[in-house]
Formats: sequence, structure tokens, C-alpha cells
Amino acid sequence: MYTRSLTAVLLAVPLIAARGQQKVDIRMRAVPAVSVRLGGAMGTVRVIGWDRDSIALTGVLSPGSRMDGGPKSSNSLVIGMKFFVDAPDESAVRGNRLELRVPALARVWIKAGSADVEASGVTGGLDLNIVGGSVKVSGAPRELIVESMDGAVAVNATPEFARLKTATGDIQIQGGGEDVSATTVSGAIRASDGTFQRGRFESVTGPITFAGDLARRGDARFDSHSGAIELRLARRADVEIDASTVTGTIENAWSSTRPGVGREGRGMELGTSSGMSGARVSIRSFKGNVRLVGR
Amino acid sequence: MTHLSFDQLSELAERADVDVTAGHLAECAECRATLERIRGLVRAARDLPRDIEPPAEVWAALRDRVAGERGRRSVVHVRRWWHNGWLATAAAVVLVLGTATFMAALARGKSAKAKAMMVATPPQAPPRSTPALLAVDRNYVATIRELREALATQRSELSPGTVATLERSLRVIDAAIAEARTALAADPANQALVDILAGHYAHEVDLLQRATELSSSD
Amino acid sequence: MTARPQLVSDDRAGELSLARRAAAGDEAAFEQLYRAHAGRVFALCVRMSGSRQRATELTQDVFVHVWERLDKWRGESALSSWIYRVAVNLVLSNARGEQRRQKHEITDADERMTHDDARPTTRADERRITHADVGRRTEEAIDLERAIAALPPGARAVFVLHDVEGYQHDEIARMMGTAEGTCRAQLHRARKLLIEALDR
Repeated sequence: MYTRSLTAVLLAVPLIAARGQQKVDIRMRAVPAVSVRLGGAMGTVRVIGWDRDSIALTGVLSPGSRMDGGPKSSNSLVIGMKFFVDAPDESAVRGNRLELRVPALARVWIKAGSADVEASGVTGGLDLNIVGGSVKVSGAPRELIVESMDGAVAVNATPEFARLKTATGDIQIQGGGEDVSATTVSGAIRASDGTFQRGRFESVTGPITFAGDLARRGDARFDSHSGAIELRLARRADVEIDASTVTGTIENAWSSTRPGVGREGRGMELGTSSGMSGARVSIRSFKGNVRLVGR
Repeated sequence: MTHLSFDQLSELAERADVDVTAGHLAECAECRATLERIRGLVRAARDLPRDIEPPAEVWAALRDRVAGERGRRSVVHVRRWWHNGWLATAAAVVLVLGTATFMAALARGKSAKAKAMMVATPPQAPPRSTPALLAVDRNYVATIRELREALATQRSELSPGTVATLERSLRVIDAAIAEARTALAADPANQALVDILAGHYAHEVDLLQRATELSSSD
Repeated sequence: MTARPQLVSDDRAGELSLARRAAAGDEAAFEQLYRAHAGRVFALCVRMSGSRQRATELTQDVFVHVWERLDKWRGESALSSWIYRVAVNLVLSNARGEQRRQKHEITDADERMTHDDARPTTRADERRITHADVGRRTEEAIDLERAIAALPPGARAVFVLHDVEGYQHDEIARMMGTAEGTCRAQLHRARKLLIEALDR
């Protein structure tokens, strides 16, 4: 028998909209790489990857809130599950606090308005969408996608593939990664404490600070319109750098190469090479100032 | 009874001439059932939809990439003409003709659609257009117009805080675009500026797309 | 190639004209070309990559490749066949690149099916995906798509190319740069994993 798809089995679990908080406790057996979606009006969400082949969704919902979703039967071994939370107003949203425990290999998708989302121990995939609030991720997710408008994003993890986007929220990445991209309009981007194979860091006006390492034959690109770009490189870093600005300045306190005047006598350019590893850094700024320092 | 292995049955499933009334299969209901199960799987796979509609943003992003690439090639073409020592007059004529041809092509295909999609605050055309600027700018402008129009109809579904963040961010990006466009108009062969401008447009498109997605869940 | 029969009309002259115009910078022509073939390309990318996000990026890459090479297509084969071959090669090349970046070896002993589900970005999108890519598709087809996405990469690629798209083993082996016996083994493994997943 085919396992029923999620779209056919959404079982409304209307909790009584009575006075007082409503307790949530949903548990089911699941395949190790189960897919779980949790969306809607939540104030706090904590996602924990554990070493059991089961899902446990616990927490509290404020009065008037409602949750849809759940297993078709408590004996089903599910490959996918979906939950959605509704709330009557903003204060009710803040009171909705959930904790989701999933097998470590699970793929988890969270979508909320203004929420504080924390994820740890998940090695499958995480796809986290908020408007405001915050996102904190730790561990080693294979795939990590985070989108926020003004919520801050803090990643203390080493994802293989990461796409982190905000409008005004700050992005902090500690731990490196295989293929990491951080994009913001006016938030600050800070990347440190880890080795990056491929990194893309882009802002319009937000500052970008990089204090990580590049893998052999790694490749990192830093683009900003007016945000300051600062790279704190190990003194003996094995890297080739190509930097240019349209009107901003370039300061190199990392190596002995002096930046020169840019194209058409405007802005500055810097080309420097050190070592044979082939790690490449490209820096492009319109009017933000660029600074290379040693650490 | 020794059954056939799954791999053996899977191999048999690809053959139309398998006789299930002979040999082991004739005597083993379990192996026949597995063989039929595999065949059912293959039939189901063949019956899967041929097409899956990609998200709308695929075309928008593709159009932007191609426009950017087209712009880069236009810039390189212009640079080569200068480097070959062509008379300034001849080069200027080429630029003018190129621009006119480009604009005519655009007008043929898109004027009606562009008029239909006017929104309150579309990006303005630069004061002095060049092929590179036109190639990158125009395609992004169309995409951004579409997205702004879509967002305008969904605006009421966003919270005031989200609208404020969105508007603030769009102003920041639009200011950066304006500065980059002005600089590119003064230095049309500057590849770095083309890339910077394309990057800002991509930011705006991405932000608008995310905002339209938010409006159904904010 | 002995893939499934083409369902498009064999208007070679029309295709040549469209391709020339698109190659020359006619955006409307390129969009027409894209609209005609994007569905099939995206389907391949989704099924081969197991990720809608990656498929979105791969589909763009395919059509950028197509645009860059359109002037080289002379009409010897149908345009759809040519575009599709570009897509298959690109997806396989991308898969090889990703496999090189794999940190962990997945052995038969501890192999797991990872379920990389499609990711609609909104509930409206989810409904659109269900409708647009399914039509009157049954629940079983939805489960099969999910299960295919959850296959290990090598097995998934062979299953999609052979059982979904109709390529033969020798063609697949050539495209993947591997031995035909390896392809067959991957196919059997894929079928076994799928049946185990679907019959739970």
C-alpha cells in the first residue's frame, strides 16, 4: 500500500479554544529522513534533532489558537508531516511556543511571521523563513536555507550548502561551510571561525566582516555598494586577492602590496597573491571602503 | 524453496518475453508477486507527468542573467572597437545605431505590455543610455514592475512593520541602483559597474519576490 | 536515444527560425522557447536533483547554456531533444560536482533514504504545485515523486533516466561515465528502495 500523501491526510486537530493555555503533545514514529513542515502563528519554535526514529511536537498554544495537522493514525510510520498554527491576534502569537524533536536526518521547514526559531542537532535539512524575530542554528545541517526580513540570523554550524538572506537583519556565521551565501540589504554580515570552500557575501549598505579561512582552491566573493568590507586574514593565508572600488578606498595592512588608483583615475584596485593553493578572493565595492588586516 | 533475488527479478521485469508459467516463477507466488510489483513501479514511473511547471521566478531570474550576459558582451564589443583605434566618430555612429536598433526591437515586442504594467514608482530610465545599460536595465525594470504591481495588490496582507522594513530596504536599493546607473552612464565600458548594477537589481528582485511570498502568511 | 516519444509537432523550420531569433537577442523568441520546454527541463531537474531549490537553479543554468549555444544548433535533431540533452548533461555534471564534495561515504550498511521534499514557499504555491504538476495525478504518483527525491543520488539518477525518461542502460552508462553493469545495479537498488518506501 502506498503511504498516504500529506495533502490527503491532514487531520485537523482542533484543540478546544477555551480559556487558558492549551498543551500540545503529538508523537509519532517516523522514517529517519522524515520531512516536517511547521508554519503559521508561532512566537517561539525550537527544533531539536535527536537519535530516535520519531517526531515529538510539544508545547503550548495560547487561548484562541488552533493547530491543524498530525498523523493519520498513531501507528503509521510517516515519511512526511505538516502542522499549521493559527492565532486570533498578535498577543496570542507570542504565546504560542513549540518544541519539535525530529530524527537528526530529518528535513524541517519552518515558516512564521515574527518568531524566535532555534535549531540544533539536525543534520538533514533546514529551511527557515521568518519575517522578524531571530533564527539561531547550531550543528551540521547538510542543507540550510534561512530567509528573514528584519530578524537576525546566527549560524554556529558547518553546513554543506547554506543560503542566508535578510533585508535588515544581521547575519552571523561561525563554522565555515562548503557552499555558503549570505545576502542582506542593510544588515551586517560577520563570518568567522571556520573554513569556507565557497563563500558569497553581499550587501547593499550593510558592513561585511570576514575572519574565517578559505579552503585550498576555495573561492570567496564580497560585494557591497556602500557597506565597509573588512577581511581579517591569517598572516600566512594562502590566497589570491582581487579587489576594486568605484570610489571607495582600499587599505592593505595584511601584505606588502600597495593598492593602486582605479579605473579612469577613480576608486582603487588591488591585486595580491600569496602561495600556491589557488584560493581566490574577489572584492568589489562601489563606495564602501575595503580593508585587509592580518590576524 | 530458493527464491530469485530482487536484482534478478528486476532484470526480468525489463523483458517483455518472460514466461511466468514456466520454471521457478510458475511455482513461486512470492516471486511472481515481486515481479509484478516491480513492473507496477516501472509503469507508475513511466506515467509520471512529463512536465512540472517551474516557479515563476525561474523565468525572471533567467531573463536577468541573460540580459546581464548580453550587456557584458555589448560592453566587450564596444571596448574592442575603441582598442582597435576606430575613429571616435565611427564608433559613436555604431553606438547610436546599436542603441536605435535595440530600442526598435524593444518597442516592437514590449511597448504594449510595458504600458499595461505601469506602477506607482517604477525605476526611471537613466539620462544617457548605452547598450550595456539598456541591456541590463530594461529587463530588470520589467521584472521589477511586475513584482511591484503584484505586491501592491497584496500589500494589505502584510503587517505595518513588514511594510516599513520592505519600503526602507527598497529605498536603499533604489538609491544604490541610481548611483550605479549614473556611474555606468559616465563609464559605459566599466565591467565592474555592470556587475554591480546587475547585483543590485538582483537584490531588488529577490526582496520583492520574498515579500510577495510573505503576503500569504504574514 | 530511445526515450519516450516526442509529443511536440515536428516543425523544424519554425524551430530554426525561433532559435535564430532567440540567439540574436530577441527576448520574446527566447521566452517562447523557454515556455515551450521549461516544464520538461524542470521536471528532469527536480527528479534528478531531489530538490526543488536546486532544480530552480539548475533550470536557469540549462537555459543559459541553451541561449549561449543556440547558434550552434542546426536543426539536425528536434529542438526539444537538443535542449533535453543539454539538460541531462548539465544535471549529471552538477551531480558529479556535488558527489566530489561529499564528506561522508554512504555504504550499503548504513545507507539511508534521505527525503528531500519539494519546497513550496507559500500555501498558495503548494496548491499551485499540487495542481500544476499533478493535474489529475493520483496520491500514488505524489508518493512516488517524494520517494524518488529521497533516493541516494546515484540510484536516483539512473532510475529517473531509465524508468522515468526511457533511456537505455548503454546510453546512461555513457552519459554518466560509468560501466553498464554499475548502472544496472544502481537501477535495481533504486527500485528496491522505492518499493520498500512505498509499501510501508
